[in-house]
Amino acid sequence: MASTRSNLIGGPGTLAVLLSPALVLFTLFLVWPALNALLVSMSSWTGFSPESKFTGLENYANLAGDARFWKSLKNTFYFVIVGGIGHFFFAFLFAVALHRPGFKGKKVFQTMIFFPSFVSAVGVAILWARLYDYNDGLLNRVLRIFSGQGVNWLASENAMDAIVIASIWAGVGGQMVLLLAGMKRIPSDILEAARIDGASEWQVFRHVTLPMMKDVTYVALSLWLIGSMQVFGLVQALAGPGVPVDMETVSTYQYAISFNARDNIYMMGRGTAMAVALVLCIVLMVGALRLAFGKRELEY
Amino acid sequence: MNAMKAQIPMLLWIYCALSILLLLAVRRTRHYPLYILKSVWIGFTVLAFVWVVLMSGATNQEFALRPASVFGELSEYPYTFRSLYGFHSWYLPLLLWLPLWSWAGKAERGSRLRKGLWVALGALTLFFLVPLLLIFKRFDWSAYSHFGENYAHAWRVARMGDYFFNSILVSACAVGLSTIVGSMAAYALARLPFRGREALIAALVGSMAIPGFLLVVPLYVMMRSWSVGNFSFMDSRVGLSILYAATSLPFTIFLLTAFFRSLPSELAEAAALDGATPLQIFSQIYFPLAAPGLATAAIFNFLGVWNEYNFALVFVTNPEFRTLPVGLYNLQVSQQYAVNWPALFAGIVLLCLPTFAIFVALQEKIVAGLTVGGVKG
Repeated sequence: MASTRSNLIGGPGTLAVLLSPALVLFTLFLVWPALNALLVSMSSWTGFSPESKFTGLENYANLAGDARFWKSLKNTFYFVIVGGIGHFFFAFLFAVALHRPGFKGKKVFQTMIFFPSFVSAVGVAILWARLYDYNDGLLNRVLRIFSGQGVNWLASENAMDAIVIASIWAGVGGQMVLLLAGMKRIPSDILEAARIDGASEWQVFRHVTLPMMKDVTYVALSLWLIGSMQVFGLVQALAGPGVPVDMETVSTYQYAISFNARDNIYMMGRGTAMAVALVLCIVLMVGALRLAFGKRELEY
Repeated sequence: MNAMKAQIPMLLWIYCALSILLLLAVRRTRHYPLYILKSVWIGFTVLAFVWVVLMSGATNQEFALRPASVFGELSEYPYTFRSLYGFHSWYLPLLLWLPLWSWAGKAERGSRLRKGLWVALGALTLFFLVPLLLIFKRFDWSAYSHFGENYAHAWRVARMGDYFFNSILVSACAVGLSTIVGSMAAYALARLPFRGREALIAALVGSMAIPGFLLVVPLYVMMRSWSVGNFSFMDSRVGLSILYAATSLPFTIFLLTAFFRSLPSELAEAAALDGATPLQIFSQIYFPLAAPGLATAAIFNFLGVWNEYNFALVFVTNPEFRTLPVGLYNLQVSQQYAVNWPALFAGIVLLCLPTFAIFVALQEKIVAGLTVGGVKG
């Protein structure tokens, strides 16, 4: 009986018609390149001559001895960790603020914080490149009123911080909305009870709100990890075609040696090896995060 | 005089620290730091966007002369203040502002003290606004009204018009394709039972985590070597759309599978008994019913594709087919050789306009879509 009913709604033929376009696109543009990346990463290849030589793990061995790669990895981790702290500090602060019933201008506030997330990284980078300008940038103009001197934002020692600040401005809205959604699910009587028992705002946040939105925090953190480890557009557009070593991340380094080499020696195999190494880092970090957050299910 | 000027920063920092402590200490006003942060954040964002729009109307000469425009003129504030009131330590009366504000907030509602405090606050604010207004009045606004010619120049000479058209074309094709193909697959995954369904869903949804930069080199090889007749995937707007449609699929299927599951299954059975074929059940009944979910998926995919930059940079080398973000990036890069700042800023405005319109009109839907992805996922 069950089989006839399902045949009326759709049998194997219907299934094939409905699923195959998606599966074809999925296999061609996602699965196959992802698997092929492993093969490419184990070959020496310039990307232009058709033949590529299988070299085993040579690309990975070269990476391990490449100081520029380690520097870019260090920059990437700096962005992930410092940027993550900044992002989540402000995201939690704004989410708590928006969740308060008496907050004035909720709608405007949410729009103004959230909208920069929907400006292309190129637009954000061009805007901030002008804001950071040492002589004429808006930031230094304001700073000079207060402190008499400006900051050289894009100098090598500040470059990563400059990227972190621009990315916090542009990206905090997404995390805020996610955390806010998590906060809204918490039954208000639990918060009421805690307040009636005399808990301060901070205690309510620390001991009630935060534990109850553990799963949303996990999702937001892992999305941040996956996204920020690949940071590309902001850095590339802020720095221009030749990204200086001090603000180079793994993905801009990969782009540079795979597609943008100045001396026209493209090392696609090595670039892909770099990508595979970074994916391994992401997998390990998300796995560690999962362990740290324990069981995802939450009962209340 | 100079010695006094050098002490301004020190005094200001001490003042800021003391005010924050004061605000934290007064129970009724302990949320004021948050209010201040909110005001500063919104103020800065508005300022940044107003500045972009203002600069897109400036002449190139004016841009070179006053890159920070009226906001840069604000550094004239202390001098304007002195010429107006006769004393230069403009920040000293400002010290009164925050304590007065917190006192007014603490005072009993409706009392005369409270009213008096608000009047004093208003007067003090006015006192500081007058020099500001003078600066604004003195500012030469006519140098920032060249919108028509700047946008015409950006549209034609800097080829933003072509890039805009390319972006629209690529986004529309990619969103259309991913919505149709994604909804078909999502319907099958949500409604039709078959072996290995859960595993397929897990694989599709899990592939959302595949980073783009892992795929970029293998895709480059593929896009370059594949061609169908005269059509090649590389350097082609259609090729780029198909790629974008494919990369949008996992999220689309994830969102829509949940949506199709929430629709009642009785409709399909009733329609089947009335003699509808399985494909008709999907195209005539469930596809129209899923319109809200389709819209959410389409909005998200549009925003993602419109702003996408990494793939477009690698897979389109022909300047004719560049999308708007890549066109802007190239204009920014070439600024070292031929400076045309207003065109660049006009380009940023063009880049932001569609997303801003969608965002303002459909914010609720966007928030809801993001929430489904994060909270339920």
